[in-house]
Amino acid sequence: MANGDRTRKLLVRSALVTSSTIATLIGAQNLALLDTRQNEPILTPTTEPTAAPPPESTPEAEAVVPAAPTLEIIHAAPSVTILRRAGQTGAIQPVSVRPASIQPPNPVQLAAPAPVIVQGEAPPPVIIQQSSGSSSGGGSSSSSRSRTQSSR
Amino acid sequence: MITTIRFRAMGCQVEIKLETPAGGETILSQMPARFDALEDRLSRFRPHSELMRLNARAGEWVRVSDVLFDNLRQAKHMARLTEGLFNPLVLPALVAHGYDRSFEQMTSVAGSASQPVTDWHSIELDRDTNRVRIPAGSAIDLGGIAKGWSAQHIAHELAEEGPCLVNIGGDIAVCGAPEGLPAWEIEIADPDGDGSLVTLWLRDSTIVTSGIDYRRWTTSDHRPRHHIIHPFSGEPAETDVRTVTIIHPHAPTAEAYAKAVLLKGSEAGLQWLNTRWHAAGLVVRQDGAVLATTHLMSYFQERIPS
Repeated sequence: MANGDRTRKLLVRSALVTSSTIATLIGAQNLALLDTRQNEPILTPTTEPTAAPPPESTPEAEAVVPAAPTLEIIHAAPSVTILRRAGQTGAIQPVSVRPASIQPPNPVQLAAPAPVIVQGEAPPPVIIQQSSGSSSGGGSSSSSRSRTQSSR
Repeated sequence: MITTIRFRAMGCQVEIKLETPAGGETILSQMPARFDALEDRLSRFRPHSELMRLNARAGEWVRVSDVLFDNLRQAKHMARLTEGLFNPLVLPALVAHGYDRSFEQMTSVAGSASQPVTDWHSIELDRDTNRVRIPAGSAIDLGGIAKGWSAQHIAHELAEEGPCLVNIGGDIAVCGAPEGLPAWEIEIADPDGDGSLVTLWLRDSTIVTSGIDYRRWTTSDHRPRHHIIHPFSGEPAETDVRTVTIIHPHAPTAEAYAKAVLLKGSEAGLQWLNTRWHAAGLVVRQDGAVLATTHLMSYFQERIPS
């Protein structure tokens, strides 16, 4: 009788251990599948660009923005833009990438001719007075305009 | 009312614009004397300038003025920022290649073999006592650093009176903006002619242009030379860059970056520039191509629809 009880208890415990083990395995498998499905949308886009060709690094790269008949803005490297090709001359007319607009300048109002101050033998400094603002045409004599070039 | 004064100083044309309700002419009429005083401190073309007196005592500790000390401190810092591509100790090499006087006075010059450039780390500065020691046998040429420093220094002084622009031979510092305008308009000159490549808007910043399109000469052995010496070789730089224009809030930094881009070459230089804080640049190459950092686009003048 005692042996029969012990055997029955052993069977019950074995069944419990076996069933809990199987349940653990099934649960773990389901969790793993769930994780895989959740990660799919995230992983997909990050893997695609690595397979895509890298950005062009030569002037022959594709034109991005045609800004004028003689001008193409080309990405030569990830952070470098070609505004004028080799062999071309003249001013460039780049398209600004800044979305904000700038107010048109005010018209020029020229003041009376300014006096010239003579100082010794050196070429005299010239003082000119003009109202602020410039014409929309942007004449080079505008009071609010200057020019940068190699020192001269 | 914007008042403009133009005169020659520091070996180039100076243009200063100041917007004030009144009195601009009186303020600007003092500028030639201010520049003369700065040249007495910083010019290597004045034999008795404070800089040349320092050079004459290379190897000794020398006490210098605040103006010269600040320029030397900036110059050493710029050498650090450019990993030695800007080196203020380049003067002996420049002189060896014939650039021993103001460019306005140069005609035919004798050239000699290249001379190694002393390591910039060897410039010693003692901030507490304003003393400086440069290695024996070396000499300092502040070059564009002094022009950039002067432009920004004068602009900051004038800014107390109103919006202003200081242009020293193409090194420009601006403070504020003229009334009714978002910024000052700056043309970048086309090295191929009298025209301009592009017009930018600039406010509270600086823009400098450096290049090998100007200040070129030929030595008596008919070798062409220019004033940009590569500090690593002691020879005039070989580069595909003709001119480089840099925008940066700090004029000496813009000057140093211009030298670095010129020496690195167009594409490598501009890509390097993109790794620097607050910097934008434009390069005109020897073959006529014009390249720019993407950040420069934000300074372009908007086209106004007709």
